[in-house]
Formats: sequence, structure tokens, C-alpha cells
Amino acid sequence: MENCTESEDYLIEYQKFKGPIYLLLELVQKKKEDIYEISLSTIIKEFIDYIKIKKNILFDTLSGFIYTASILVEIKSRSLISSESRSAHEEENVANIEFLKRREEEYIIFKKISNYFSSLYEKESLYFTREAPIEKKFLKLLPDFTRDINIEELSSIASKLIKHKEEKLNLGNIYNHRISINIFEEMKRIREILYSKDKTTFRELTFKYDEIIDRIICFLSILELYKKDVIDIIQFENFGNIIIKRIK
Amino acid sequence: MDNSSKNKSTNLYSEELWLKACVEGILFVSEGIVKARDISSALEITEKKVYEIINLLEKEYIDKNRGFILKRVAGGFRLYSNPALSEILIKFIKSNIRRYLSQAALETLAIISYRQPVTRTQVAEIRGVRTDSVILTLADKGLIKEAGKLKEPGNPILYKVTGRFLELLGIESLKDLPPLEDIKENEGVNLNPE
Repeated sequence: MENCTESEDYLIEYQKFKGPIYLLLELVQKKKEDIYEISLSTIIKEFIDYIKIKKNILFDTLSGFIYTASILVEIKSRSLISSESRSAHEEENVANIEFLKRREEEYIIFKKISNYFSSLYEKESLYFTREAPIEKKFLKLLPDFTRDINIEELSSIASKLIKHKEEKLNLGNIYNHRISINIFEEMKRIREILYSKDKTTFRELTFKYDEIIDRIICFLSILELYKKDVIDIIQFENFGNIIIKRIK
Repeated sequence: MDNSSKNKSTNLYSEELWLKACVEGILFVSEGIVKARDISSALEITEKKVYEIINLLEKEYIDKNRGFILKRVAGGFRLYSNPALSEILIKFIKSNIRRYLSQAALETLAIISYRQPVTRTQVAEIRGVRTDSVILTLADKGLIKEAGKLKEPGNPILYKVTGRFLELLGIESLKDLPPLEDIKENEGVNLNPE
């Protein structure tokens, strides 16, 4: 981590913590900071404000921050799901740190290679080639372009041509909407619904929600209630309706 | 090559001079990389002969300080401007458009070139972040391409680097890259191109 954040001069100031983000990750990994008490969205928002002002920020600083922040987000999201038992949780944590460490070592190697590529690329940009397409009268000189194409390749080329670009869901937009509910309110709402009847479904709970963010909040609230042993969750098939039952 | 052109040629040139001119001509009109096999079939000579001629041309351009040079890239040959002229050429072309590759793109290419064929998830596992859009951009630029699908649930697409990628880094094949083991074991491995 130090390697890719060496040039990091951005310090997080958050409650009692002040320092670079990789230090925060280290503290979380050593359990000296509770990930639950850290508002990652605040830290990330402040970083975004910072880079808006500081336009000439180094790419490495930027990617180093994003890389570390994403690990923190991953740790936090994992902690949302409850583990079967405490010891399994501990084991998972150790395995997690091991995994992260291995990944980091591997990443550093590939980072070195990418720097090497960058220098090759730099050197290569001193060469120019003929960019204009071949003149018509010389076309015959070219080997038949269909010579090496077999049926399989032909079909893959054709399918690429006729394939529509999949419409992608832009998750970046969800933050543009004003958040109308928060997790605590949503948990309270679900509890109240389950108080009047013993079970409900995710579809029912989110029926009136138009915004994706509201559905996400509802989903997170369900996970939190499950973790607190307030509810049980049943789903019979992949992408099937999620049934939520109150635990008596 | 039909007989008449060959007869005419042998009157004017020695065989070798003629073949040199032919190969030069082919390289001159081509917009991309030319393979030895293609020259060999166009001129009806062996590939070994093609390499002999290429060696001669390559040396000649350097010895005579020509404005262009012959480079071996991505398993073929192509004419490039002499790198000593780069500043002048930038001025002449009046554009400074440097084809730009981001850090993320370079990292993704590093992983794919050493681990190919790989899936997006395998790349993401090493980089620690999602790589979907980087992979799409690299595929759009023709630097990577699909290489079948993994026989696993979900059948994810496998990717590998293309000849265009080798050309971009100016290397003949992936074998020209330093072995991963060397980089892993030896901290001081020289990763700077001469």
C-alpha cells in the first residue's frame, strides 16, 4: 500500500483521526478502528471536493486513494452480512487480511509492469506510421482478407455487428437524487409492517419506491434486521421474490 | 508475379535488387503490419528469403540514415519514421495528439498480457476495483479481444491482447516481455527499456 500511496499528500481529517487513508485501512485491519463508526461517504465526499479544487492531482494519488477506499468499502459491505458464528467470523477476517495482503503484493508486481509498459509506450510514441489508407490501385496487392477467416470467426464478427449495445444502469446517478429515507426510518417502517402481519415481501415493501436508492436502503435495512435476528429471510429461487418473516 | 514483369525486371536489376525493391514497395503501400507469409506469397519466394531481404533493408535504412526505418512488430514488419525526426514530424503534422493510455488501462493490459486468457473478474481481483469500463475501452481500441468463454457458471468472456497491443509497445511477441518470475523474485530487475 505504501508503494502506491507514497506521493499521497492528502490527509483525511475525520473526528479523532487524521492521516492518510492507507493508515486508516491499517487501523481497521488491526481492529483499532471500528469500520462501523467510520462514515466512508463523508471521507469520500471530502476527497472529491478536494480534487475538484486541486485539478493537477497525480493519477497515482488518485488511484491510490480509490484503491484503498474501495478496500474499506469492501470490508464494510462484508460486515453488513452476518456470519454464522463468531469464530467463523474471526477466521474469515484473518483469511480476508491474508487475501488482501496477497492481492496487494500481486498488485504491486503488475503496477511495476504497467510502469514498464508506460516507458515502452513513451518510447514508441517517437515513431510515426503511414496513417492514410491504402490507395485503391494497390488494393489488389493485399492478401485476401477472408483467407484466414473461418465460419466461427465470421459468425462472431456478424454477431458483433448486429448486437445492440446493452443499456447500462448508471449507478453514478443514484447519488444525484435526494435521499428521502434513511436506514433507521426504513427499519422502523419494516418493523411496523411486520407487527401488523407476520410476513411480507421485498416487492411489497418497495412497491411505492421509484428511485433505486430507496430500494437499496430498504434492502440494507432488511439485512440489518436479519443481522439483529428480528426477521428471517426466505428466497426460493434466484431472482425470486424475497419473503420476510418476523421472528417471534 | 507474372513472367513479363519478371523478365522486364531481370533486365534492369539483379534478382536481389529487384526483390528488395518489391519488398520495399509492399511495405510502402501497406497501412498496417505486413507478415512474412504475405510477402512470400505475393513474390512467390520462400519466407526465409523474405527475412534475408528484410535484414538487408533494415540495415540499409539505418546505414544510410534514412527518414524511415523498418521495424519488426507484432510478428510482422512495418515502416516507421526515424525516431530522431520525431520533433520535426510533430511540428510538420502540427498536432501533438499523443494517444493516451490511462494508468488503469496500462495496469489492465499488464495483467491481461501476463495472465491471458483472463476474465474481467480475474483482472478485477488483482486490481481490487471493477474493470468493466476499462476492458470495454481497450476492446474498442482494439488492444484486447475476446478469446472464448470460461467453462464456469455464468460463462464469463475470456480476453487476450492483440497484435495492435504489441505494436503499441513496439514488441514482436509476448515472449519479449520479462518473465513474471523475474519481476517477483528480483526487486532490482531492470524494467527500463534500453
